[in-house]
Amino acid sequence: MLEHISYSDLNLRFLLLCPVLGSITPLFIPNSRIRLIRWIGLCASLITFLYPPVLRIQFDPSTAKSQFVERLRWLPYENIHYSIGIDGVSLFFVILTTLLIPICISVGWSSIRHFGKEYIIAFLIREFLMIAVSCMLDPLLFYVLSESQFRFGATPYSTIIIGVWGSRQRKIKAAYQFFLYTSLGSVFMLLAIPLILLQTGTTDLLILLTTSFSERRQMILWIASFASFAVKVPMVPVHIWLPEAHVEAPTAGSVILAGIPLKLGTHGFLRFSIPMFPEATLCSTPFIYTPSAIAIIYTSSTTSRQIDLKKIIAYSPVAHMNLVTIGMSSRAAAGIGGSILPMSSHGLVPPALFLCVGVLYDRHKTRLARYYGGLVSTMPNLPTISFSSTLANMSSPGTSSFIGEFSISVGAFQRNSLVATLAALGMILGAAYSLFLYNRVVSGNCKPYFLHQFSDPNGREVSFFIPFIVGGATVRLIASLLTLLVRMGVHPKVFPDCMHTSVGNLVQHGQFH
Amino acid sequence: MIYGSTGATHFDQLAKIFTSISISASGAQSSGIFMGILFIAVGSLFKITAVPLHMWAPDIYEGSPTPVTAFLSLAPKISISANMSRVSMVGSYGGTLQQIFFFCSIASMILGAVAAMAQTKVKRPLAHSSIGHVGYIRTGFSCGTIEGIQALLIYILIYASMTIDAFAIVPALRQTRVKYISELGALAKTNPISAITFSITMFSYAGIPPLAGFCSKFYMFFAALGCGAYFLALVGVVTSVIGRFNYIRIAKRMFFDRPRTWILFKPMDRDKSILLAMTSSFITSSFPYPSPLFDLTHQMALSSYL
Repeated sequence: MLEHISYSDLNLRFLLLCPVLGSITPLFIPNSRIRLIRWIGLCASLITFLYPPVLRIQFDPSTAKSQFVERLRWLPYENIHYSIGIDGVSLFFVILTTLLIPICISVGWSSIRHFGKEYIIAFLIREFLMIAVSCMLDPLLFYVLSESQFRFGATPYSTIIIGVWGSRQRKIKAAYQFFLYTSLGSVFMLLAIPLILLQTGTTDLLILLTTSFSERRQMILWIASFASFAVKVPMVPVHIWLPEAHVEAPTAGSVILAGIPLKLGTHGFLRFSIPMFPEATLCSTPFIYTPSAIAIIYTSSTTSRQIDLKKIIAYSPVAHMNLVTIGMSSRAAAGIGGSILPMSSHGLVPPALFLCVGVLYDRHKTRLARYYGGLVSTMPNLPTISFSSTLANMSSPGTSSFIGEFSISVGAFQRNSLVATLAALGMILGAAYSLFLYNRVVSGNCKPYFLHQFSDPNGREVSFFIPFIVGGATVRLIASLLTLLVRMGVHPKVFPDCMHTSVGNLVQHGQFH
Repeated sequence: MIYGSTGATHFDQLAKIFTSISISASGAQSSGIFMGILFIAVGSLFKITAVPLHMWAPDIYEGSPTPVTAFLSLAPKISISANMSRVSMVGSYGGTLQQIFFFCSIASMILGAVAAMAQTKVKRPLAHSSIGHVGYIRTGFSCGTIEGIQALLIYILIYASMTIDAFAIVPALRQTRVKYISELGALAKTNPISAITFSITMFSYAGIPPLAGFCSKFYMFFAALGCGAYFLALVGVVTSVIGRFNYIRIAKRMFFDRPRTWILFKPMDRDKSILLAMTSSFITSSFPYPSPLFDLTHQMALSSYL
């Protein structure tokens, strides 16, 4: 197991420490000096953002070992340690997280009035949790941190932020659903981890990768951890929490929710289920394929019926993530490598879409698509940006999601051509609803009746002025996400370089047992 | 009865007598001892409000003054659990007692989670939740391993701090005659710090990860799985999810609902707030550094075996 670790001078401690410090500092500043708090939050997150490129430069892509490993003694009694490390797969998630958080903080700059201090604190704590989760090499702590991120991160604060307006009953119902759904799925993993611990005496992943469980036990453990990951992915029967949570969350909350926690399911799958329980993964491949294929087709079809803009965009992660699980269970190098790419591009595309919708929502205070139409005549810049994001959402060539989808289709075709066909069909449906949404909102006739009802012309003039002052940042940020999308699409070689060896290691590991 | 059968009440002597009897395997004479142990067990179950014998708990918890309730929910459990550990170690007489305890744990957990959903007053769900927690404690107790005892001790310690926390907040609110949960409404707007503290306590009761309640539950399930009680662990896990609904409901009432009449809560006095600060900081910060707790209880568990 020692050959899996390569020590180096840089360490991840700084990366994790920065958001924590940034989140503790505003506690001591009174709530009235909100500008100072916001600036501190933004600076902390920007500093955290500057660090992962350093990691990337120092990263050695020729090995599949975990690099920058740190071990802290958490519970020496049971040999559970807090060990974090980055390999090719988690490097992406770290970069993605640190990219998204400053964007979110600046999105919520002026629109979060009520609990401004708690907002910043909650975000930075969440950033810490997300980075820690991406790097964590220990199943127990991965589980604990991802659970706490889900429970504490999304539900309480986002519902607090919307606390006094909006349809409260629905929001509370959404919060309940979110909580309890994810609880029920994940407690089974809570049982699986002690079983592992009992058998091997440790929960260090690097050691666990080399143990071999008996086949029956593997099935039980796999099912238990699958229950936990399936809810997070989200797979079809338990995906209902996702649209609810996205719709009721504020813009920045949705951006963050689409960014990282959705990846937790597939990331956990990739890192824990497939390496540790290879026979069980082999046996359950049809079991994964079926709900995933159903999910892609079903959600893409359902989305065409939706009327709430945010809900439409919220359904697209379901389809994407299920595509990812199809790719991962195909156990081919193309499949697994291809499944990581949608995870990263997915961290960029729906946030961009949510930001566009957020801009619209800030202006007109409604999200029903019925009221929008012909926006291109009044706001020329926004449709350009949202068109690029829409293209990326439906994985058209030239964007980052296309590469991932293509690789997944290649990988899945090698195993089971029916599922690959269904998945591709689902992506066609995805194109259908994306274009439908875009068409309805942007082109067509302007609907001055509705728009004038919701904001009189003077207000709209001012509200167009405001983006050039404050929210001009929003437009710029969306543009920056856009360039990342295009770059990943046109020059994708940058990213798989890091991943190749890790992916190859995974595949080899899976096939040798 | 045990004295009648064996002529001794001191634990060491009892231990010697029991082991010698089980070696000689004489059936008829041992029934007196068995009944005696059974009666002791039932009496203890009564006191710690485990399930078949829990009927007195919700009413008493609700009706008595809050400091009395706090004492009553904590002290008997601690002392009787310790007592029962000792007794069962010397008097482990046949496997049927273990099955009784298993059944009690399962039933307590289920009842504690499910019945608390129907409550409307503040203290009754706390009573039911402590029944549920007793279920978890019995789980730790009914496996006969060292980990079981250690899990028991950890759980009791963390449960003690959570309960002190909860029962310290409730009288602070009671100064204005709060009795129903709905009157906790909008606590977040009038007194946000106590709302946050109470909700942290509730989440810790529910067993949500970074808090101490999760550590204790995790270790409990670890011990249960270690001795092969798979069904018990499964039931425990499912009921903890059901129980989470309760606790979230209290948190939700505090934060989101608007009461019919706005209730002004008086600020807490200093002693209570110090107590609350200590216990809630213990709850939140025991996650990053749990090893002193585990080491300590490991030592305690080991020493009680000697």
